[in-house]
Amino acid sequence: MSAQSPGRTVRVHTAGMTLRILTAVALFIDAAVHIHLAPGYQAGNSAGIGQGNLFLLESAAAVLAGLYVLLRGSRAAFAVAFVVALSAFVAVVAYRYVNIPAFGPFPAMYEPIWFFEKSVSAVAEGAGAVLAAIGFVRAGRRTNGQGAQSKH
Amino acid sequence: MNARRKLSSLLVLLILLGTGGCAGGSGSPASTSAPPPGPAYGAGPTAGTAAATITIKDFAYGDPLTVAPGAAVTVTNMDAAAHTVTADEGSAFDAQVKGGGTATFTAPTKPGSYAYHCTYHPGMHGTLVVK
Repeated sequence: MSAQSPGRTVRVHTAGMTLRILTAVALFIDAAVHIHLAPGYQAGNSAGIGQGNLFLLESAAAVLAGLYVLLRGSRAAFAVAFVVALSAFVAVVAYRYVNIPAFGPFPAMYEPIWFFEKSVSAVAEGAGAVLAAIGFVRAGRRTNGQGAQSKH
Repeated sequence: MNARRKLSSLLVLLILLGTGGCAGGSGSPASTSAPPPGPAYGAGPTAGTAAATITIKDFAYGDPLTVAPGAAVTVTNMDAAAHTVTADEGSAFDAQVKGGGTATFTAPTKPGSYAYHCTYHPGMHGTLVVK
């Protein structure tokens, strides 16, 4: 019916960009902590694929997802960021409280303690998942809005 | 024959008193002077050896352990993951112990409080008291 005001458009754009940056930063923090911890955990638990190697794989996924959401900010990018962040968050919380035995290439990684780096990583993963979910919903609304406008 | 038995009993008693004194932390000169300087596995430290065990469970070392200077310290790892018992400062001691395994290291001969950590897992810290 009526076009959005320029001020509102700028605000929406700024909020979207901020969301992309924050999501990417959360994923990068998660990746940095895992890269930092990987050598020690690989030496301490090399069964299966090795815990350190799993940390490096998770870091790679987090970096790629962070770059994707930073460069594109599309719904798909936020979806990938959400899956990576949430899976990492679920894993760290599950292995903190549940003694999950080794399965397939995954070694037993039960570690019933919290410490600084682990806490920082878990908070970043949780925050990353929430931010990515918000970005996903917003990107969906924007896409629908643009679709509706192009129909008129 | 009887005199010999008495003599050996007296010897055993003397050894027990000597090691007991060392474990108490007061009269160590006799035991520490017996072996030459260097790694000590002699009569003195063995008194501390009986209780000198660090048990790692659930990524924790437990309460601070007090041992005699130069005592043999056993590390028992109840976790599936490997751990280390590494002195924070210098190279006072550094023991690696596999998951479910045990390892032994020699406590420093210099009395003091030694903070240690696991090089694999940054959340693990403990204290070894030598006196």
